[in-house]
Amino acid sequence: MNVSQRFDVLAGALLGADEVDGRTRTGLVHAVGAELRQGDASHAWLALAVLNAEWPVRDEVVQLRRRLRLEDPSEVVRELLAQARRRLVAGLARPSRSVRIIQGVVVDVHHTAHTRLATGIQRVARKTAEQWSRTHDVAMAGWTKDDMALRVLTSEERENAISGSKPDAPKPRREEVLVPWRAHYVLPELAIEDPRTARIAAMAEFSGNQTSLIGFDCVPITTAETVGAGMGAAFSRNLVAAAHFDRIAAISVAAATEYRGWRSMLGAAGLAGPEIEDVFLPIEAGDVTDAEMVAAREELLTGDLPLLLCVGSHEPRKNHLAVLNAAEILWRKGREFSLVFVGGNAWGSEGFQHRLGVLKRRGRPVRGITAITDALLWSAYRLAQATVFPSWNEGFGLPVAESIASGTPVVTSNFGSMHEIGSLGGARFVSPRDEEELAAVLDEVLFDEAENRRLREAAAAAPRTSWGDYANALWDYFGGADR
Amino acid sequence: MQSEPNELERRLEEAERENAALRAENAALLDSQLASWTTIVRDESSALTQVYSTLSWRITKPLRDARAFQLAVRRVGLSSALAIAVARVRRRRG
Amino acid sequence: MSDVTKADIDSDIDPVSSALAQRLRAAAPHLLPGGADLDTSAGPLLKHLVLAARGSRRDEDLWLLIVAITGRFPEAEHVRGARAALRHSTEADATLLLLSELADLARHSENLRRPMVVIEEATVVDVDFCARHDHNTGIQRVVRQTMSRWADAYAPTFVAWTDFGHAMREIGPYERKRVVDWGTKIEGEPEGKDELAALPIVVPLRSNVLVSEVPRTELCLAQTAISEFSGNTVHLIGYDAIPIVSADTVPHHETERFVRYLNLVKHATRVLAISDAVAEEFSGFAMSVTAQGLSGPKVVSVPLPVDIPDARPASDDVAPAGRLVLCVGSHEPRKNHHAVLFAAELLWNEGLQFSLRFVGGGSIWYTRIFDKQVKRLQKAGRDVQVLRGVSDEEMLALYREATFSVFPSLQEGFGLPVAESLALNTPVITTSYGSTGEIARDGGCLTVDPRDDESIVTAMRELLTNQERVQELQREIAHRPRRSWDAYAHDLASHVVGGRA
Repeated sequence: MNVSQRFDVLAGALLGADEVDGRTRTGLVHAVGAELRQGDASHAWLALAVLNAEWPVRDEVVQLRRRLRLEDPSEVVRELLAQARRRLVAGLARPSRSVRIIQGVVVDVHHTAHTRLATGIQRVARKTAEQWSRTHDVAMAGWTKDDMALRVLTSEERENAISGSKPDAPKPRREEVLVPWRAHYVLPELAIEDPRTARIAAMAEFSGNQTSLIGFDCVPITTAETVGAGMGAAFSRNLVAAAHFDRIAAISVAAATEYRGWRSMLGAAGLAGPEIEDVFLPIEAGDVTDAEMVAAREELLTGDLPLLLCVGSHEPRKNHLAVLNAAEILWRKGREFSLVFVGGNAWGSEGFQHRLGVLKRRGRPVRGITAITDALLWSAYRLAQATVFPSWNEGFGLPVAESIASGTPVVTSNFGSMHEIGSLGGARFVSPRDEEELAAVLDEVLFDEAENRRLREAAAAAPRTSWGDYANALWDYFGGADR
Repeated sequence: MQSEPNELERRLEEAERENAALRAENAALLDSQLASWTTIVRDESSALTQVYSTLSWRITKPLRDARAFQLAVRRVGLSSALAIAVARVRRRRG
Repeated sequence: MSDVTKADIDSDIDPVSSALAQRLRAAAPHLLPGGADLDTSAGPLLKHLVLAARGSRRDEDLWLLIVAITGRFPEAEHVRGARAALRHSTEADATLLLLSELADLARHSENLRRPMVVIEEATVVDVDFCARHDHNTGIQRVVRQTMSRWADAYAPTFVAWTDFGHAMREIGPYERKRVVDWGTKIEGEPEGKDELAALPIVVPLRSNVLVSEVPRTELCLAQTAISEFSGNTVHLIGYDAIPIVSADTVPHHETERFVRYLNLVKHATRVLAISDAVAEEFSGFAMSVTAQGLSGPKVVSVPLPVDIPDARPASDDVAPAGRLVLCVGSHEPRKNHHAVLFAAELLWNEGLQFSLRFVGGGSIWYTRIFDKQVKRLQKAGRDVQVLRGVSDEEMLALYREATFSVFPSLQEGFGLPVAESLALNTPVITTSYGSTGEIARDGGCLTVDPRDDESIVTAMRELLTNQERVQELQREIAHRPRRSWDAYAHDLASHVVGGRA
């Protein structure tokens, strides 16, 4: 698509398709200029996005508005066209992009379209995409190679976004840029690339589109000591974009609290910030066959020892050192049980690995499993006498939900989302900063039969919800394309 | 009757002497334990301080400048980054 | 100030061992109840101290002991590791287990040769940057104005941190002058490396610690651990949260540094914010951390002063030949100077006559584009200049001549240029929300929405064409409530000195 064709698309959107037919080029330039001059920032945003096939950043939109005020609008439009042509020529190496204006609901699944990971954020984005594509008419989108514009996904990319079955789907040679206009942009994943967050921010501030996102947590700013270098800055820029969104669906009340606290900070920059509500993630367990259970028993259990299961990566925030220390208190007391960690190494795992080694050398029945199938994971939850999850901060403690949904008692932190989920039934709460307390409660849950039974019954009685329920609640809160 | 207090006194003195000797031995052991620890820690600490002191601004500044330039290119493109570098030098020269 | 004598550091013996012995003896009275027998060698003394900390199970005892042994203020993971090591120890092996646990921390310690001084129930003020540097804008001015007054009134203990941020230390006499004698000509020579290396570690107990600046990243974790474990009460002066709220206007490393500072904020007892707007920022953050089972700090607004000149007449006696519009401040996106340039161009196009002066430097990233715009306007015959490296006298002259100054910043912690302009009797056009909005409320200002170009144009046009309005604002300035540095220093002290949180 050349610049003239892009201009036609722009003229059609600004003036209406009927107004475009039969007009001369000069006439159209004049009309578009007039429309931009008396329009608002959304028209300026649209013009830049369509003509350049790139979403503009804030400064570009503001500068265009100022030029329209100071100069002859037709001249400004001609210059925009000339600039767009120069950029096209400069990018000779890559094929020219076509531009499509899109309405309705657009779901940005850029990362999810290319990942095989199904944990945490990706799982939520994937399940949402999957459910919505079944029940609603939505467009799935990704970003261009240079992270400067939203684009159409190939059918393979779309399939991977939904099922995760094609993580190596090739990216398209010719990118078709998408420009939402009077549409609803939804971000169900985390965006952290600078060019992308800057452009999402400008779109949210100026384009007039409805904008919604899923809020997972604000850990990089509220619990920065548990996060590696670089994430604080990238995440904060994501929040700068979020400040201009219409609404955020936080995945728990705790996550909503973090976002609301952040929103209070925005007054200093004269911004009101988005509406924030919590839309709770589901409490759902996967199924396992009897054969899978038998195999799992072989793999995971140590003789007759009751199993204490701990699911999650070994980053400091998950607090697995405390689990090891508490377990050691119990082993020294003569308690007999095995401890299995299911999860990978992550930034900052060295302390945990060192201590794990020490305990193994001491002959303690403890091990870590990094790679695990779904079948093995869900079997593990069912086989465990109890699970433990004393994290310092979670947007939504998925392992707590998974344990309860599997009917297995869980010992977890006495605040935040873990407390919210655990309060549904089947949980005991501790302060994750108190290793003695953790040991004492684990002792009860593992070895007091009556207590263990009571918790199992409570877990069984806890309400279950599905990803379908979640996707519907999310759609309702975001309001679909009806707002 | 006369010998008993002497015997007790003698045993007491002996016990006290033994006690003092054990205390001194214990103290010496503890001192030596601490001294060993101190030696290990001190020697490794000296080695590390050497490393820290060579990481002076003078040596790493060119590296940091290069890195800053790299990041600049990524942000604004090569021609702009070069223009900025030139302007910087001009400004420094006054 | 310190009672560490040369005899305590007997350099005939290996200096590391003798410093360690000194530190253990300094800690002993605070760990061993009822004055124990200190006349033993270091080995047995250490054992007494270890068993005392192990038995009392109090975090502050263990924290103090770690400082004594390693010469370092520990981070949370070190204290927890030490606690775990002692938990399963016997009386016989506790010392060795603790020494093993702390070996790594000690071998990375820059303070093995440094003696230590323990102070109790004191007021400690961390002036790390001000003591060691001559730089003097923003934060440093607040610290120097306040501490020069605190020095006489409250006799606080000023501390800096050692080179790699391993521990708090006393400051030297020249460093002290940098903090409390800044206004006057400082006599004497800065301390040499050896002199600084001999200054003892300062260990506060049951004290109020005021972190008066934004600390270096490398010491944030150790400083946070003071709040969590040492039993001291930590207060912070809160300046702003710009690196989070306006993260897109600062370089990445500044946001990175700030999120680590937020860890310290999270565990502190109190934040003393320099404006209501900043208090709201920190309160918002405090709300966020409740999701982690933490209460977060108490947040109080202690607004900075806006110095008002004594009895300055309104300037209707000297009608300026032309109108001068002043725009003071560093050139960075947040200050929104392009909006001022746009408004000026529009008004010149309308036929208004006035001069525009920008005063201040900035990163060349931003200024290159800005300077291009200025050149374009100059070529078109507009009276606009950018002045950099301006002296104080020149600054004063500019303000006196100016009809008004304009400062439509997108976000500020306080807004010193607004305060300065008012202090020199010059009305200001500034942002309606946040801290500048607070200052504006007391008079002498027109406020604008900095994101709305039209709002800035209207305000500037008003003051350029309506001399009566200018004079009205000048009268308002004269009637502004006075708040002095004395008052600020006193208010700050009321939250920190004496009482316990």
